Amino acid sequence: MSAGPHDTPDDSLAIETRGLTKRFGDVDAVTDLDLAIPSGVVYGFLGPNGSGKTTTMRMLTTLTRPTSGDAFVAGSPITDRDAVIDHIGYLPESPPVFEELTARENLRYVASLHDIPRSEADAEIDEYLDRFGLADAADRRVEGYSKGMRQKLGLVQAIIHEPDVIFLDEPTSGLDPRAARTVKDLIAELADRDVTIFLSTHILSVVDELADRVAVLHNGGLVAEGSPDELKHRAEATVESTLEDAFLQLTDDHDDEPVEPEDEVMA
Amino acid sequence: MSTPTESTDGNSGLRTLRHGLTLGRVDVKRSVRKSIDRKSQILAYAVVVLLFGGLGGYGSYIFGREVGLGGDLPFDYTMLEVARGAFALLWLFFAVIVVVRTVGTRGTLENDVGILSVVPTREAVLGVLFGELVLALAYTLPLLSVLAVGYSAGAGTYTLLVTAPIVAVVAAATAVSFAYPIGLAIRHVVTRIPFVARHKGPLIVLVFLAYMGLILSDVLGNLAATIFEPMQQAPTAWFADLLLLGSAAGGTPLRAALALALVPAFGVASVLVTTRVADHHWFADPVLAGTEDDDTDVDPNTDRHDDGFLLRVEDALGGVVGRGTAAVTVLAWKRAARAPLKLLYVAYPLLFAIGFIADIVQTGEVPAFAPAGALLFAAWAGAVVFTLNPLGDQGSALPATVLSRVGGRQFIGAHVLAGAIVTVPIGVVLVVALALAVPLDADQLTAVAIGTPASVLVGSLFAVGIGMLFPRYEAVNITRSTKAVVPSLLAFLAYSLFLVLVVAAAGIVYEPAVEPFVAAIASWLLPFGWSVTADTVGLAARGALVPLAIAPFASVWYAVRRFDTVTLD
Repeated sequence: MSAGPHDTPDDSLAIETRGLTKRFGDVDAVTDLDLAIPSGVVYGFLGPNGSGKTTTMRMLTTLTRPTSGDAFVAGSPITDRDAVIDHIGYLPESPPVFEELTARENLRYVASLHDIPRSEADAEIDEYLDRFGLADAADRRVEGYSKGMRQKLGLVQAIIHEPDVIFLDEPTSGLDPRAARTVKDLIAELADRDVTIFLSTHILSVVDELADRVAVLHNGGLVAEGSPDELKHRAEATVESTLEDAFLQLTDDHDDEPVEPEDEVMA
Repeated sequence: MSTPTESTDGNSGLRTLRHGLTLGRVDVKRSVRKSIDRKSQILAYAVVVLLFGGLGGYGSYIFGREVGLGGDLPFDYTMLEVARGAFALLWLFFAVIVVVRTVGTRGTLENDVGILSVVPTREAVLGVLFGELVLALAYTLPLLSVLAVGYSAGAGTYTLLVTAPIVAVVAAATAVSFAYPIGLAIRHVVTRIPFVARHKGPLIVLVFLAYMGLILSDVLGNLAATIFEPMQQAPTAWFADLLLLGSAAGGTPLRAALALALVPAFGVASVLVTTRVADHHWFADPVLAGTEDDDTDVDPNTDRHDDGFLLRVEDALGGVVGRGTAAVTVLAWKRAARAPLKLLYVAYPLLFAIGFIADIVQTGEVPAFAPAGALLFAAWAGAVVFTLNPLGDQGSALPATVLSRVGGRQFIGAHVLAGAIVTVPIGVVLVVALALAVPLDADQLTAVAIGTPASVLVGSLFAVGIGMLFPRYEAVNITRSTKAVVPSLLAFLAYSLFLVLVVAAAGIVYEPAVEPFVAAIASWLLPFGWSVTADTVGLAARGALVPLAIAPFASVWYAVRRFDTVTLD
């Protein structure tokens, strides 16, 4: 991976990857991934289990080094960790919270690492805790939290410093319908504020509802990209096709003829 | 966007320091809370501080009193030289502990994603170093302070009360700064070099045995004695000058000042070096099975071959004891074989035998008690591996097992069977080999040969009930990345106590000559001047054998009922 003079980012893009590849030994986790994600969009990132979604997110958040290719997040190459992490928030599939701390302590800790002044941080923390229904449990240790409560806490941690680009890995996982609604409203609200959301999930209805653009990853490679409507129409020539139909068709390993991303479905 | 204070102070160095302190503070807070939750850890800490503090404090008081009275020192060096050599060696010892801790647990970040996606590596490194320093001070500060108080009280000089806490901080800070990057680099080799990572279990055992060998063979003691004098010239010996500054022993002011200067020097160098190493280690790809780095002698399909063999065994066993029992038996073997670090627990009693083993190797003579000792160990080990935590050993599969058609009799029988099939042949071979080597006479040989399977079986029957009564479901950390479900402490204690009682009662009945000896010890231990006679001891031993003989069967009865009524609360 190199960031030479010709590897300058496109300023209009929040996330850009060029030939991004990750290999673990003999296993190709992500292959030659090219993405161009404009600022302020909700970008749905779909794929079956093991398709390389999390590896891609870890590379874009600088937590895993690519084998080859270039990538830029918020205008900075992912090789420049210090620059990238100033602009991003990340909610991995397992929320990165400390069990021995309370929710409020976890959030104060993260706010402190983002240099948010204490009074401002406390006000925001109270607001978010209230919004996500965690106010009553705010001073209880996280070890007693349910999966959904941890998920909500992890989400607040990822956004409390109001980053430019947010990576969300299954953000509605484990949430009840009301909490899921709150998360979806928040994502829409963030997008309205020109924040770029990179959203990986298996819940296709969430992507269908929120995403401006959708990419489908399969076996480490990009097999489709476009708006949700484009993908639905390209999947089957029927008006009734859903995003699920598109997803299933695009990621079907038993197809006799592989989908050609460039010709078939690439936007 | 929230307003970061960075924009106002604009000083990245200060920001790094502030973030490092925040990370370190949270690290310590979490460690303290975890320790408070684990009563045994608090107890261990209290024992270490009180025992070493008490003994050390008293010793330093006596030593200080001698020095204060102008008595001769019991060695060929001056007080300052002794302190220099001792400090340099203790610092080295402490640094080794930090290296070991780093390799084992502290080399990875807990919640690494949450930290590394928020702060640069150097800030995370600073946080770990701060946290480790504070945790180190939890030991060095009270211990050194107690030593200083003892010495001051004895010698009637009080400068050490001021310098000792400073030295504790300075020595801990330099040791942590020096040792952490070394430990991290070793951890990288251990966890990220494919060959080493894949053979970590056997390598840990080898290192442990080498360590025990070094201690028991006195190599470490001799080495310490050899380097004691040269180490008096090492920079880390300057801490002694700082400690004794202003006292009659006369620490050199220049060296004391240099000792203080070591802290920023070691600290800055450590952050720089550790950041480089951490950038390699914390972001390195994990070692995966079946990758290009696979060693040729590692068969990636080993588990599959094992499965084929075990499937045939399970089928054969199923024809005898039923499919359910056979399935649980084979599962117990698989889980034991695939958690080899758990088996290290079984080796603990062997530590007490290392001296005897060394004697056997050196003299070529096997002591007469060796077969009986091996018999006891076989009974203990078989139970610990297979029957002392049957519920916990099921892991996440427990609900499936509980809801299956396997009943209590099959479940308990399967665990006893799993232990017996493995332990009895190994135990018999070991015990008979030792008995032949002693050599025991034919009657004794027959007795231990028959006694081994009987002991293993009886032990397992008792252990299975204890295990059901005191299960442990959660895995305990062996290293940061390696967890294993081991029997609970109560189960360990109860089962070990059972074996001790059986051996004691049987021993007294078998050899009545020991009755007066046991009676004397018992009388000495009893309060209020009570005493027991040799006859009472003999009677008690015979009487105890009855419930001890019944206990295994009662234990199995309880275990079966417990499984049949188990709930997953």
